[in-house]
Amino acid sequence: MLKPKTLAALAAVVVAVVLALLDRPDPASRLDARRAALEQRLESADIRVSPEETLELLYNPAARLHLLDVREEAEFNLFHLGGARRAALSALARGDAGAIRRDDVVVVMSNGEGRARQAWLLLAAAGFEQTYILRGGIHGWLGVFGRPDRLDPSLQACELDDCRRYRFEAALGERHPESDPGPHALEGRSFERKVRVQGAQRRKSGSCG
Amino acid sequence: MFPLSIESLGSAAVNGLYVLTGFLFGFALEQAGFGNSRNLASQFYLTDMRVLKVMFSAIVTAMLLLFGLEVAGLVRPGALYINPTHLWPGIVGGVIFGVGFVIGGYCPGTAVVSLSTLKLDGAFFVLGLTVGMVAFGETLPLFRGFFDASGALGEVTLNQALGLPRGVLVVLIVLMALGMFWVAERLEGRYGKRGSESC
Repeated sequence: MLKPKTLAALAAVVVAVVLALLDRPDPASRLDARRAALEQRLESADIRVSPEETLELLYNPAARLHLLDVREEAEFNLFHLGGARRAALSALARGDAGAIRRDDVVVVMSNGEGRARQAWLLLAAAGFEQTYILRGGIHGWLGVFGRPDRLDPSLQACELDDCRRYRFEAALGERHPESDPGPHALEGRSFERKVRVQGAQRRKSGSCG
Repeated sequence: MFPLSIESLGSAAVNGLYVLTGFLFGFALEQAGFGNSRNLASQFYLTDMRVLKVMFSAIVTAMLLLFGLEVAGLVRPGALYINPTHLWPGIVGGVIFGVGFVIGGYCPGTAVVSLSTLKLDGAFFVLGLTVGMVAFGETLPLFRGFFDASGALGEVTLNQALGLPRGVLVVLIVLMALGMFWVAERLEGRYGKRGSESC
């Protein structure tokens, strides 16, 4: 008859082995397995959405849009898009994308596109097929919707334009006017739509069919 | 799905949960004999290895439960907070912690446990660690660079650092723990008798 300590030890080993066999690949392993194919898609313009289209999606409830900002907390607090949520790259690497469904639309952003590219890889590897990168990042957004003096040319650019090149007087997060310029800011602008919005479309007025 | 969001319970209930959790943790420590500095310091003289056995058992139990919940899909992946690793501050802090532990016979948690049972040495240890915490906070600007940036590896887990699948690492940790328990019992058998003879 085995002693209780020996039984407990054997039970721990058995449980550990069973769990190890049942475990699914972690996000980093999934990414490694698909890296080559995903990095090819990463260079494509198809996965980049313009600031204009992002603003349009913000006002389309059918899009089920998630704006994930992968910058550092201080940068996020300084300025971020209205409705954006901060997501650490380390959390995405552990598989924590928050409450996002696989068919939701996700737009990731950083100052330029540096960190957003890494976020896109992690989310795409995790099966979030409707993930896009905000073209130009926060710099791109401010270039379209920001005050002319927001982007400071004296601030040095860096690799993939991910160093901060904008200035704000106060860290107001999404309370800056540029965080959400409103749908009227799209009037007179033409842009290419990349995102396929699934689900109910806006009704057109008129006939019964 | 875990982790549970408890904010909706209201601040009074949340604080009550914190107090209850703290009480249960302290109770478990006290029942394990960790409110007695001699039991704790004996770890360093290899005469009583209960600290290693109790703490590592707790680590393995929690690890298996947590891993099991994640495999079963009951824990949101990656939702648990992982302390960022700062290698050199951790090593220096660990050495200071260990020296204080063997001199005083307590670590911070067990000192509070001891204080709760009105032991005088526990009270002095808590006073000392309070002074130490204040001193640390007040002098932190002097070594902020070392504290924040030295060996900063981010939120890295052991399996990521070793390049192993986490399931493999779980099995290895269980085996390592069992090996250490076996060694601990041999050490107790050898030095524990000598320790009692010297008294």
